[in-house]
Amino acid sequence: MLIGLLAWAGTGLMPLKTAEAGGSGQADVGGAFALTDGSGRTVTDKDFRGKYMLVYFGYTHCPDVCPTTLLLIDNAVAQLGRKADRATPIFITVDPARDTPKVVGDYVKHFGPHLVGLTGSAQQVHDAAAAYKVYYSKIEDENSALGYMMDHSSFIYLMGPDGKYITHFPSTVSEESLTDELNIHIH
Amino acid sequence: MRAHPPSLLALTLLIATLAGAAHAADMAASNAWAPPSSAADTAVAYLTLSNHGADDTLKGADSPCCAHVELHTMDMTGGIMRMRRLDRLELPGGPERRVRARRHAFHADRPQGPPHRRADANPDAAFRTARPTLRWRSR
Repeated sequence: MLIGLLAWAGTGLMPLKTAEAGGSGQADVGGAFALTDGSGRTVTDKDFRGKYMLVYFGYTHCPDVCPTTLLLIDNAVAQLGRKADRATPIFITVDPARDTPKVVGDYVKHFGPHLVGLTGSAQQVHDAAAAYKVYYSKIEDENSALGYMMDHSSFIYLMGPDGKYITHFPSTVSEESLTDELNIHIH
Repeated sequence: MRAHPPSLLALTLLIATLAGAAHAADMAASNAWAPPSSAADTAVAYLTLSNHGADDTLKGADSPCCAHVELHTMDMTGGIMRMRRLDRLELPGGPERRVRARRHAFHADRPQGPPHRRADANPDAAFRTARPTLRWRSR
């Protein structure tokens, strides 16, 4: 079996946290960000105060993990019943060069009415990813129709109404487990 | 679990057709499936290929449904998603030799038509226009 033809072109952040399982408690994850939503409006972390945030970093050209995870989040939140309005799912792109506000805005519409899509300048995205300890890296491939792909951490971060980190989940978490955990943490 | 977007179904059917072509050359394809994909630009499908004949090599796949179809690996080691294009995939012969579906993806880039949303697309229409072919090269 042939596995992996790697061609690293490390232009992103260094790997910081690669735990397979969810964790909670004291991690220094999250913080201030200033990004742009699908309508071109500037959005900061303070705009979500008072609500839980479910934050996921990815990119719209990702054919598999990102759409699967966003659908997972949408399904889990939908099963929270009356508590669903307490949580805002947020998708932050790690590919701002292709993911303009319009692209991100159109993309998130496929994953339920509550998902917020955010992009920004390369520096703004870098800063947001750094705050969440998210690794990403642009992998050039001139022989691919895509031109390049983005390696990226694939975790779902649950942030509290005060903006502070509560826990995180791998994107491989089951829908049932994610729903159960959200029911425990979201009040 | 909510229903998958229609674009997902279209690609699944496409790969199922590819599987039919493979049978004629001692190849068997099974477990074809595709994760949800709502973006207009990219979609992905997975399948298991079993080679019951001599060693062979998969060079790629074509479909008029998509501007490009590429073979990729996808890896999630350490919680980091890594996708890489493959020029070729070795398919050793033998009754027990299989290529696992999750490790290799047929990555369809830029499917034709407008973005498929959950409620307004017709996967059957996409399937009827598909004439995919597999290109094999014996060693």
